[in-house]
Amino acid sequence: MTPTATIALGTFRDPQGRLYRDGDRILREVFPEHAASAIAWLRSPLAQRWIEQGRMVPTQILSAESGHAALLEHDRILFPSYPWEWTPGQWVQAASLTLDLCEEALEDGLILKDATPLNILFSGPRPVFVDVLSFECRDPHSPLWIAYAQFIRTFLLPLCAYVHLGWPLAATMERRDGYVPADLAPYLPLLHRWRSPLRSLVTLPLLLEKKTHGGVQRPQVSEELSAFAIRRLLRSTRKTLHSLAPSARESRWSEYTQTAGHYKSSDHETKQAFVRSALESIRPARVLDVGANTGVYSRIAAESGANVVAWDTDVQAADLNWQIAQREKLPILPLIADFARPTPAVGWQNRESASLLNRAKGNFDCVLMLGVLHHLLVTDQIPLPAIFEQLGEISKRWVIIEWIPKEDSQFDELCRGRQGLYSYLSEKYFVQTLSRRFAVRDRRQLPNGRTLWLVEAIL
Amino acid sequence: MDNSARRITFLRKLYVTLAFSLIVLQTLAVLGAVEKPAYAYVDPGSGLLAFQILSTTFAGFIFILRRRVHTFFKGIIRGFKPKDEALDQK
Repeated sequence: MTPTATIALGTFRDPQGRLYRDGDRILREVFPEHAASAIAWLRSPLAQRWIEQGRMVPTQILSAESGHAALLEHDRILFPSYPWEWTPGQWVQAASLTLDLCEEALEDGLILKDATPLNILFSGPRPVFVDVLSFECRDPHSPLWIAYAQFIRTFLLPLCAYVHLGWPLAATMERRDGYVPADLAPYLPLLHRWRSPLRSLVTLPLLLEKKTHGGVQRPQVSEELSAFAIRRLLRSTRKTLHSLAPSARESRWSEYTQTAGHYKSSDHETKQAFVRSALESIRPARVLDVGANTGVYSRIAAESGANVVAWDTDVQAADLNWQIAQREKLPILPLIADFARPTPAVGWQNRESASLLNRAKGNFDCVLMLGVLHHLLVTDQIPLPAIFEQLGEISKRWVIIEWIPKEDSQFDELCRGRQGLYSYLSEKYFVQTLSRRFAVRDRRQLPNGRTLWLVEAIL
Repeated sequence: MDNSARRITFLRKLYVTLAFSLIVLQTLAVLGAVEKPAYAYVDPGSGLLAFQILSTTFAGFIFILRRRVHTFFKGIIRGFKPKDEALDQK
């Protein structure tokens, strides 16, 4: 359904068309019987307004001959992401956009027929609706929004499970169609089930499911009543969504920058000055910030004019990074992603949703890897040559990396008495290893003993 | 056994039969209510769709009620209007 899927495989579920990648281009074929209505919709003032506002993916009509399939081309999104990599705030924002578009479409006699997070990608911190064929003419006598159940399954129940049960949103990778009420019910305390919003999301639908397992009739009512009922439903669904907006929690890493005792303010200042001047000298268009935490260096990269993708494993830190980027309108896309354990390819034939590395390879001019190396070496036990090999595949040219000597207090703490295993990790070994793929362009030592390196790929 | 004694025995038997039938019916109803469907074959959206229909029905009631209240007050306001003004409007 999304351009992301085409990286590995064309889409095949949509009965109206298919999306595929042709080199660097994202193309969508609309089948002949649906072509005329799709073209009329894309040319409508509403669709054009959404594209101008950046809420729907810019789409060019390449061919639209009567009786033939139509061909569309979508603008590429810098880094396609999947819902299982989004922060809780991004989930709420994507759900909110879905409801907004559905409500606005009603004015033009249209309705959203697919309401899944897979129809949304993030461009920087902003959600963008990408499945342009998801709108259809509304039956003016039907008081139902047929995609309501899908919206609940794929947006609200995962959020509900995250907020009320602590299930990670990343677990949705295993559920293309989200959760059903029966998935959550056994884990909710009896009294808790009857509280709002669990009552309307889990308990009542589950009871009704037991009673209506033969199917239900679709009512037909007056146009006025139908519009009233759908608007009321969208309003109450939005209220439920807001009640599920997760409040910020403190995590292991969310307060890291303020509480990092091994960094004095002079260390922070020197580090930030080095990164800023390195970025200003190399001027990368696309930067990947690995282990971005709350995004201090992502923002420095964004200020230097780069589009930034920021990976971190900590949900709260990444969410904070996203909130700041959204508030300050910075071109930063924070994602929950692990350099050492990247998101796998999933879906049909393992080719529907591309892996994290597949999407990242050769996609960035510069990779920032600050304060991460010791975690990769010690906690994840990745050999240093393998780390540089991976960096060489992701970055087209530059890497800004922080070397943490084994004498560093944080390194020592991570070793947990196994210091002997890492005795070979000297700065000399670091330089020797990086020199196989990169050339050193700049180096700065911080007062705390750590060193910062600007290195360039050897072509 | 006289007639009245026979009638009492008949009524007692009828009462027992009725009470037994009611217990059986109640048990069946309870069993029916808690019968678990084969979940693999239940449309995962059916409960949510049924819930939507339920809330839409409620919205329908509100819609009709709102309209009636509106018509009622409109009627009262019209009733308060001076007759000549009402005639002018005609």
